[in-house]
Amino acid sequence: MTRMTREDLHGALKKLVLFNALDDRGLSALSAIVRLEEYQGSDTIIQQGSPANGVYILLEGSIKITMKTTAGAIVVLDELSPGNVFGTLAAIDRKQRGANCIATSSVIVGRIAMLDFQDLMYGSSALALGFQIVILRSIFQELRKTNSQLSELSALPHLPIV
Amino acid sequence: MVGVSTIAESILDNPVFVGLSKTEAEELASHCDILVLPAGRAVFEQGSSSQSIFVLFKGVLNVSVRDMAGKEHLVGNIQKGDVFGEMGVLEAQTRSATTITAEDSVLLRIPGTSFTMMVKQGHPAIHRLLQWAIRKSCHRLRDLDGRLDVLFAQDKNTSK
Repeated sequence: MTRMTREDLHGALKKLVLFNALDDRGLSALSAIVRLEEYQGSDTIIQQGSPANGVYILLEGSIKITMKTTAGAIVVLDELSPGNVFGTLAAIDRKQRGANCIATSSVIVGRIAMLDFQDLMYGSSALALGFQIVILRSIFQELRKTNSQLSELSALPHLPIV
Repeated sequence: MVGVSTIAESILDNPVFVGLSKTEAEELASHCDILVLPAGRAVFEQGSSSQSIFVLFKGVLNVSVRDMAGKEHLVGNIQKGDVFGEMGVLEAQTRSATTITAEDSVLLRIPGTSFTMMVKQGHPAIHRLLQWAIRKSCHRLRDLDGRLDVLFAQDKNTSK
């Protein structure tokens, strides 16, 4: 059981910039399929190498994203605060998870299960299109972060995303 | 002035919009215009406001960024069939780069306001466009992740 109710969830999603392509009806419809999950600090939410089980919206708390590189080192790729969507890439590609997502505090996430996620990604209703914009914008965020990390590590110029 | 039915034909010829019906293509066409540009023309410039999303129907575009000293650097190109300019519109940000036609080019211009309206209508053309943009962005992210992994490996080797 989580402390957050469905009504709270609608309100929480409404405050998130990433979700502003969805109107109240869209947010209600989305709230109805989001499954609320609660984690404690150091719990693993997503395990690298596991099959994709949907996408997550971080609603409360913080998480870190770590990855075991092919060279065997564990690197921290990112730290996320509420409002971020994670676990998107593997859900789209239906591949294994490319990184670990670990709670660094008490966390509440909203998970959209794979079947619901696929319905939204393949649909062309106003809700589905609004959701696809949310997902695209979350990928843009990841692209920008990865781009910055690459230019820091390699001293390459920052590549624009057009 | 290019007519709606001509624009619709070009839309149906493009891989982005595969599977769209003639009526749906005409509906999209009624909100768009076609830009026919000679080589050397800017489609948009870095720092300008993002008003439209584009699909390159014919030709090639060069993508360049201006550094702090004002020098232009060519950083890539956009090939026939590509969707571009969507990030500026969806993120309500200014353009992060300049795009210039490298040869005679034909583009579909979808105004941001029309895009937003068609999202609310749940139009299949927007679904096709978003699917294309998502696939492109995922591919790019996978590519960057791969390069990051190589750099982490090098970093580890050099720090030994």
